[in-house]
Amino acid sequence: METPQQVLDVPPPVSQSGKDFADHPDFARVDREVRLALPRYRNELGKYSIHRSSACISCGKCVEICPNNVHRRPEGYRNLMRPFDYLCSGYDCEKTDHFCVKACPQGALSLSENPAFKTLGDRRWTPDLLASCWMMAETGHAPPSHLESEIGASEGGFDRLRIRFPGAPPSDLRKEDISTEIVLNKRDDDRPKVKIDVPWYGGGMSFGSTNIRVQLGKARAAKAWNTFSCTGEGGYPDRFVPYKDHMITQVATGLFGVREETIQHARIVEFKYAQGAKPGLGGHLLGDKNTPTVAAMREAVVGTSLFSPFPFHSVYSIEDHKKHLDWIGHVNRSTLLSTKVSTPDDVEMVAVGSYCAGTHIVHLDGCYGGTGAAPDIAKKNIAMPIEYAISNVHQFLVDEGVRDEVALIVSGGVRTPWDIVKAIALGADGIVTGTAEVVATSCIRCGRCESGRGCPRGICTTDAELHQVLSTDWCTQRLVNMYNAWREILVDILWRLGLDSVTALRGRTDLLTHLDYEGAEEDS
Amino acid sequence: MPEKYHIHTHPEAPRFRIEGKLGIVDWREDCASCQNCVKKGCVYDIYKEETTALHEERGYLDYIYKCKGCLTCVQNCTKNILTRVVNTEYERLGDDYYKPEILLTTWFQAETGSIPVSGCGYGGPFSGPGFDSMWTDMSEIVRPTRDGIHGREYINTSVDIGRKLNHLSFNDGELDVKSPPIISSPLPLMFAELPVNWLRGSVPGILANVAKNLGLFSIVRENEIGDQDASMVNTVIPLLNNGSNGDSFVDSPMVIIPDSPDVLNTVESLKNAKAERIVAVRVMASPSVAGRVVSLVGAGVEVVNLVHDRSGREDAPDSPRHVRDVVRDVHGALLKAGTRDEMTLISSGGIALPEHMTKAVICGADLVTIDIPLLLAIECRLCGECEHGNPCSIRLEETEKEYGTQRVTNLMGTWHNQLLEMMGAMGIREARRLRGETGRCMFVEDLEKQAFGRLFGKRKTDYVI
Amino acid sequence: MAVKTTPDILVCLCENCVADSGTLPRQWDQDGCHIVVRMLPCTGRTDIQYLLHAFEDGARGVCVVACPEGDCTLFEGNYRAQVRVHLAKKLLKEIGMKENQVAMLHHSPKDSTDELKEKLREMVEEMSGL
Repeated sequence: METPQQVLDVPPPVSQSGKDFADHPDFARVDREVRLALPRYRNELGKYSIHRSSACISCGKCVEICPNNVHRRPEGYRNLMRPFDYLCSGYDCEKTDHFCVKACPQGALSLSENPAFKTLGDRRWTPDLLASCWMMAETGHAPPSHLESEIGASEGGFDRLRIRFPGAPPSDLRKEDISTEIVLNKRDDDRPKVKIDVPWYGGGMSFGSTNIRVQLGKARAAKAWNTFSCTGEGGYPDRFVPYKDHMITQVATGLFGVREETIQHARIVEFKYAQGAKPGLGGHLLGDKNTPTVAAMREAVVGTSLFSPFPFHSVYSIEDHKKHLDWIGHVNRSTLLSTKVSTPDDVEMVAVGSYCAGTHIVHLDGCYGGTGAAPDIAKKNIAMPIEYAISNVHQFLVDEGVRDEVALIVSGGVRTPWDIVKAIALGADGIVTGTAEVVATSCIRCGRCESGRGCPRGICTTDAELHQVLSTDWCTQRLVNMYNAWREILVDILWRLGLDSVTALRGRTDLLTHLDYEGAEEDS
Repeated sequence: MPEKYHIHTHPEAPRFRIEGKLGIVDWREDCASCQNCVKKGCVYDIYKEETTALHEERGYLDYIYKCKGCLTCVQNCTKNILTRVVNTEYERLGDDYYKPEILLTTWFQAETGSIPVSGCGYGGPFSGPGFDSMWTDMSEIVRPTRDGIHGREYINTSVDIGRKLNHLSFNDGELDVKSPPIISSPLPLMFAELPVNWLRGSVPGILANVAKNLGLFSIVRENEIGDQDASMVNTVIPLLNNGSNGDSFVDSPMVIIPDSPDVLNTVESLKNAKAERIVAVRVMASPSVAGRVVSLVGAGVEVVNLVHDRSGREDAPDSPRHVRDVVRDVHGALLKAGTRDEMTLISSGGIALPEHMTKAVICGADLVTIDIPLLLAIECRLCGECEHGNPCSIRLEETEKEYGTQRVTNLMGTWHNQLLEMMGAMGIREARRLRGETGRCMFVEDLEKQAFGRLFGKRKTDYVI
Repeated sequence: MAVKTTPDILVCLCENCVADSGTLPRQWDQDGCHIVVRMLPCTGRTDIQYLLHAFEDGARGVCVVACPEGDCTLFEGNYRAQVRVHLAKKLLKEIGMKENQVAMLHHSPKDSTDELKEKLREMVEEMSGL
């Protein structure tokens, strides 16, 4: 008979049951080391294509010179592999001495922009942003310079804001000394001063809408980076328990899966009043996704569409909200309370009201945020973009004299570390990321999360077969890598700004310019 | 409680294959016929469908662009012989205002009768011209007035058309005033008269039929009202020619006459002919239109129909204003004159999507008129060939009545539902109360000024609105 | 009788061959033939089955307009189209139809659209006689 110790030494089986996880916390070991996490599709799309014609004589010149590893010849083979052109830096390479097209003695190579690449993405997540997110998730470091990784093409908000760097960073500031920690409990109360190492945490993606492996990947990355991930409103599977110190329990209007023990587990409990992508509308899990497991978790009937109503039917005032917070605060004496709201016209009042009711974290979700399913009309038209809300709420809280007693966390269209810096400079303490995380696990934002079997790429689906296309370890590594790249870029920006911590950046609107305003220079 | 207004929809497949957005180009000559073909693995069975279609269909076959764009096959193909492309014919659909996406979403709604739902955040531009430069509000936790669209409370979308009294007077305890005629539309929209090119075959009949079934009104030019079904008298609103006496339409609940210098005399003579008939005056939107509307209303006009061009712009030589600004201007002027609540403002032009209807109402219109979306519902592609006298590639004029009726009904059902979604989010339960509620929406220039003006000073250029 | 909307001659035109895709009409009549232009993202999208289906519905000719050799944005779409057109010709011949009922033209976006119209006109003249 096996001793428990032996079991622990065995690597976790491919399909771990919830019980395996609960019984053996060591399965949950994870670190923040960067390791190469290759794309999971064989033909990864890049900005450029390299075409090798039949004139190629497999001389191997290109293999020798390419620094990006585009051309490869496996050990012991005569012929070259098809070019890994997603790694190609394109026309930037022309001027260098390692430009394969020029170097090829047979003239067999040609370079062009990949037409399929241009069909990717949209105005907010341009093909370049998607690809740079994939590169960060793969390598764990800043994306290559041939990709526009800072802004999208939405022509407003973050995409028109620029950071003003001073001429030279102060010489006595070392990058190692820069802190990216933020404290989530700013109140002077007896609850723990929860600190996270990076100014972001993962957004809620519920069990039932998202592949459990992606959820676990998120939770593990959160654990590695000492930050949080969120359950969403679909309940708390056993497999989350090993990560309970890095899991936010979400209490949404449907109250799916909210039980006393899941409140007890949590260091943060989040009340979701509204979601940025569908403000004022309830959540909606289409019947197709409501499998027996999901239904059991949500205590519902298999195959029925599940609606989370809007709003909380017991909350019609700040006093009611306070009653809710008090209730959770009593059930778990050491949890922090977070209030997730959308961005209506009077968002400042909502924020200050939530503060008065006793919340530790005000989480604003702007109208361009992500979702697994929302009416198109709501995504486009309801509530204001987050950029405006951050600025207004921050100023209002400052004027009310309570800014330093509440953490302002924002989400809804924060895509890159550059956006994080802009959001924090506008007045947020930190951000929540959701879409960037699924993009890191190779989402292409096709928007089909909800139809039929769910996500064809296996990310947001409950289909058993589609679940298999990715593994928890791979998701974890991709996210750990992305977090590392984000932190590196963030530290670099802070260093260039001469700031020694991310908290010093908050509200520094003087470090921002807006290209549509006088005095701002259009970048070259 | 009155019976809820509900539009019954059921799926109605298109007659012609729709132009999808994405397709796959495939170097099939290079196929290695391997065993793990990505085409078999397509989650949506697109390849299977395409093969079946090719096998079964006879006759001229359009290219199939039904790819949903997940790229799984492109990225997984062993020999990398697949590429995704954007359908050129899709990109050519519509025009500057009716973008291909608008056509596609309208077709979807007319086919399924359900609201388009998708995953991921909105991927469009931050803001845009016209209606895209405003967002509607939502109420978070502090307003005790709504219960969501799935709740017990009924969101009423009906609006009244006609003059309303601003006070009652009594004589000896008896009501001393006679209330003017009023009609009620279950949705804040009317069917506009069709652009001339579409007055073909069965099209006008289909629209009149839908209007009748749903209790909506449809505006029809005087000379295009044929020997109609008697049951349609109540829902057809004749648009009279200049100088017409409208004698043939005494039974119509309302008539519309074009504005002219002696329009008040015309109104009077029409009223004299039949006092229970509402007379609306059609005014072209222009920079000076607010003054004209105020004076018309001051002189007793019950209903004003404010007409913009098809892209929602007023008639002005340079930088014409959009519906949202013209209507706000007119609405504001009427409020100032103290006559807004006495009259009904109908805005025409520029309404392509249900959100436009909601937003126009928020800006101050009581209701809007729509035309092109109705034609899109019966599969019009706005190719403009009919304008050149060429045959219609989808034979719009031969649209079967039952099919067309269902498609347009479906579209109205989704518009109704989307109006409910937006009103539910706003916490407004009456379309009548939505009118002019600019406090329940946010304009980009205001937000920009409030949030960024404070930080960055003066804008270099004004917003394109 | 309803107006005929299916083409007598179908032109499959690659969008990359014309500088501005709007300049070529979608349909016109010439020499008693109804000509319909179908835009394609690349002539590599042509398929033998699609080409032959046009004939089943009574088309007299199909003309594929592709980019000059070596200029395809997808590298080899025009070459693929050539292969498929060739195959179509072979099949047509086998079943006793004329092989020049399928034709292929090359046109560069650098050349004027009038030139393309002229080429098409000649092509139609030839095909209408079949």
